[in-house]
Amino acid sequence: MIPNLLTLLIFLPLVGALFILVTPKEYTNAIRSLAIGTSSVALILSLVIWGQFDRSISEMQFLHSVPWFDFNIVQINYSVGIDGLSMPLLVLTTIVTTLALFASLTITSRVKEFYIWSLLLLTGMLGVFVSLDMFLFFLFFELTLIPMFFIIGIWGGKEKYYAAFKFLVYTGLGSAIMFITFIVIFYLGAQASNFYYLTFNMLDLAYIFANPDNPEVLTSGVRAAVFLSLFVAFAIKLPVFPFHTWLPNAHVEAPTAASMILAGVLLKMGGYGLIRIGVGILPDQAARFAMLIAILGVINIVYGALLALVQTDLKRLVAFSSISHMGIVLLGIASFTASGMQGAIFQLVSHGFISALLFFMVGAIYERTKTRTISELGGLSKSVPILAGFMLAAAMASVGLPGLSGFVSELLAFIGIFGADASILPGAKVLGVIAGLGIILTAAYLLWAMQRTTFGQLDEKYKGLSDARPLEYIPMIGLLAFSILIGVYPNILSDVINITVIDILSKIGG
Amino acid sequence: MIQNAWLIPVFPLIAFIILLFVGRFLKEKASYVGITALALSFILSVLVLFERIGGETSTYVIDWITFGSSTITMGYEVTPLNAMMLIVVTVVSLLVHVFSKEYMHEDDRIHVFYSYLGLFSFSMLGLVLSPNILQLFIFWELVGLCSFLLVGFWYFKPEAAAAAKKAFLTTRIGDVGLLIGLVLLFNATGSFEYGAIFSAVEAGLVNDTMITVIAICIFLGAVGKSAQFPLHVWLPDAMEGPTPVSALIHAATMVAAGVYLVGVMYPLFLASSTAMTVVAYTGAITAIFAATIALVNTDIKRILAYSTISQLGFMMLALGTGGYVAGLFHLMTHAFFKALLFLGAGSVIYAVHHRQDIREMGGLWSRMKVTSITFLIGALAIAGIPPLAGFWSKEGVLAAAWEGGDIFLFTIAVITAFMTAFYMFRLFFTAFTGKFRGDHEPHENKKLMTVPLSVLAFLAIVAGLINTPFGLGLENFLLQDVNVGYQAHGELWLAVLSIAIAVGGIALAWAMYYKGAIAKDTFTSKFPGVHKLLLNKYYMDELYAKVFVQPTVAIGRFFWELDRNIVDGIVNFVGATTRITGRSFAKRHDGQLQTYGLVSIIGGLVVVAIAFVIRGYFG
Repeated sequence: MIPNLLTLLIFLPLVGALFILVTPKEYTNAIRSLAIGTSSVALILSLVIWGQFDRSISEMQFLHSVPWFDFNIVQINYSVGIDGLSMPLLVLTTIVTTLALFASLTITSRVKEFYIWSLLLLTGMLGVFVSLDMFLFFLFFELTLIPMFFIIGIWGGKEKYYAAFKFLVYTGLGSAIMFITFIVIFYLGAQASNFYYLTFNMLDLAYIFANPDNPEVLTSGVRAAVFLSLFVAFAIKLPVFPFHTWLPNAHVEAPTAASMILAGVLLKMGGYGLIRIGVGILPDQAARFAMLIAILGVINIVYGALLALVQTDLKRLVAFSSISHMGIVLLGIASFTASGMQGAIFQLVSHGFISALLFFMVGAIYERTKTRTISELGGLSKSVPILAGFMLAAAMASVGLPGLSGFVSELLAFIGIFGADASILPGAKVLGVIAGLGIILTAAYLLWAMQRTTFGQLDEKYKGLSDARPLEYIPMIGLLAFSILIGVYPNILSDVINITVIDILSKIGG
Repeated sequence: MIQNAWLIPVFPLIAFIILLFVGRFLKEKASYVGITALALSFILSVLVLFERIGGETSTYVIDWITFGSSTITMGYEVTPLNAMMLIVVTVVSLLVHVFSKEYMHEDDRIHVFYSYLGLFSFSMLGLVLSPNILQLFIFWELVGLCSFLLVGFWYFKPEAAAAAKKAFLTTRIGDVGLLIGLVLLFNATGSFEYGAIFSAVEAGLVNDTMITVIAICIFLGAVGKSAQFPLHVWLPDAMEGPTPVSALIHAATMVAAGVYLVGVMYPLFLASSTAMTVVAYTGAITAIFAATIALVNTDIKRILAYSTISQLGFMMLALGTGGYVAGLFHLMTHAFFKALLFLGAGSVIYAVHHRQDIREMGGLWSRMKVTSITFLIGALAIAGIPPLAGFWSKEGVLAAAWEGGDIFLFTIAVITAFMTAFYMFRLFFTAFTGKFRGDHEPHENKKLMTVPLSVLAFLAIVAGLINTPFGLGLENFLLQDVNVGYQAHGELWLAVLSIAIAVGGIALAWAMYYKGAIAKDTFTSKFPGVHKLLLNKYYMDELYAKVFVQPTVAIGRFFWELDRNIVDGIVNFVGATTRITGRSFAKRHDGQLQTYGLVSIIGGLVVVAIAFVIRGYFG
């Protein structure tokens, strides 16, 4: 029997972690090779799945479902599958993680533990994007939390404990809200089907919520409460203002590879959860609160950009740019149009590559200059022209320059927000214009940062810096290439996403 | 051949890619790669133009993205307008490539320079060949990137770094307007394709207010790119870039893209008289505003930069008053004579060891014969002396302004034309006649620099002849498949007036700066306030810094304080716990996870409980 490819993919990193576990810790090169090898195989496997993925159907594919726990009445299933929403994120995860592992070659202390945590993290992230059972989803969600907590806490910078705990408390709070809400959804689903269905399966629950046998249970108020709870849970992860304050701390203290994964993949779980579970189970409530989501999106965009503008630490600046860019995701979702929803998914993927590249560049520069303070840098084009060139390319991608992926997501989100149905989102055009101002601010803070770091006079003490090493080219070229690929030929992505987006939106119409 | 039109931008793209990877091994030889690519593009453009004149055409598109039931395509299309633009861009770009070989040969990053030039040429040609406005926008942004890279080419100079940023940001403001405009256009018409858009507008599918809003948003993009008031502030600073770049990007091609954009979207603008008025007035105000600054400036490149802004205003004025052909015709002639003037300035700057103040020049006429003569030809052309190119196209602009019926606009155009002749010859007499006032004796430059000047001088003489009252070649060609309404033509009195203005302006400059019959400070001493205002460029930079930049940064700082002290504090009601646990983390590993777990679960319960307590509120 050919094993299910998704199951194989999820547990492959776990197997790799086991191998590392039994490798003596002195063999650091073997450990590194094992980790990168495992992740690379996962990457290839995800590309195989991408190749086999049927772009013409909206149903879940690569389904695999086995009973897991059976508590007599309640059955928890190991149930996985993917559609056009999860497919791109799956590939994003394997790509960013593999390239982040290449970027982590500079880690020299407690190497063995680092890679074990990293591979556990990979399993967790992949699991989140393929789980169809909410219980399983929650377990994988938690599985991403703990490795990241330790990676920041052990391999982080000066204030790593504070940052790690802040990360844990905030996202842990989000998890708690999520878990309780899942239980509530489970119970409501049971009630609404007159206790015919006792299930954590997202697809079944979506069906029950849309066609309840016992509609009195699912009053409008209850639905609203459930949706808002879910929204808060995922908003912390994305993160959405005002739940964003854990992110700058976590990023500044995290080692480069962790920042890449954190911004590149972990934040995306928030956006993914919001679409898959929030919009998936309660599409009517999502549309009802579209205005709230859109306003928060615009706040994220403008507020994040304004704060990025005044940062003195380059890494914190990039962290605030992430907050700003996640606003595009909210804006796209809130438009409830095909282009907006696709823009949101594009932004999840695109920002994954671009932010990982930005964090990699900041890390590479820090490693050489030992500073992230913008005012202490300057003229890096002189001493490290190749790194400076990639830094500039990353900044331009983040600005939303056409030809790179960020532009496509912004374009789609804007087409969405300006074309939003007035009954769902009155005054959407005003929000669109304010978001447009945010885009000008984005160019302002990034170009100002470039002016003060790569341009200008070179400080004497940075004269003899070494430029990019061969192994550094792998993450740099890899991440930039994917951003260019999507930017130049977005059909490669929209081809996979479109039918799922149409399917999601068809549920709001009623 | 016309089926291969797509190769025209591809040649410079290949040059860019080659130079990106192996440029640093080629060093100065990089120029050959660039020159070859542009030569091929130029030859192909000429062939394409002939076939287009012969009535052949070519279009090709592929699917680019699909969302819902909409599909956006990308490809290329050859129209009369872009066939003309291909020639303009490839000619100027090729000559600039040749000129730069000598001008930049001492720079050890010459290969980088040529790679950027290649990327620019690719982007600009791609912009021109775009069959839809989204693709135009994509290349529009890419030329902006190249402008940024080339203005900041000498990145180690703080002024260059600041100018590059300013150029990108200022145009970005207009670009967001343009982006919003084309998004609205897409939502209103369901397409980015020019043809589909114009049919929808013609069929009345878009209401009048929306057409006006869209047209003005699109025009905002043109205002940024073509350095129109009030977004003109970046162009004079962009002169920090190498002079060949100023000639190619900031005089002949990229800055004219805004005019081209209005030309391409002309049927949309024609559908809104408000938008047309906005275009005409913006153009007129820009034209006279920039011309007044050029009257007093003493930096050879900045005078030319303000002149460019002013001339671009002229083109906008023509388009806004119905002069479709006049505006685009002036775009073409201006590209040649302004590129000539800039390269001439480059030749001078090179000869006087990178000085740019015209007061430190003088007497170049006897020392640099080719540069001086060609510069004079350029100056006569821009002043509007027949039969040079500028005369015919400026005549068209004035005719459009006159026929437009707004006497105010016409008056401004006439005054500006007078100022143009004056400031150009103020520059010419100061820099090229009299005694040499610098410290390094200048000599004429090598053929690599003088040949491009001669070619451009030839074009500045003859390019106008393709569209004269004796034969409207360009007009008939451009109007083949567009319907842009009645085109005004100047009558004899207008020609006489226009010559009189030009001669008057030159004569006044001659009297003041050559003959000395009128003291140079006649005006400055009478109106010192006005002089100071002009010298300080109407204090626009200072105004923008005070009104936009500083408040934005202040707001950012305020929010940053707020974020650290209040947002973090309120949301993070467990923040204190975090800090305490954080501090003791190192000492007591165990127990903390339980604390975290407890805090989280309680917090989670509280949030969900709140949601349910207030559920009644939601109905």
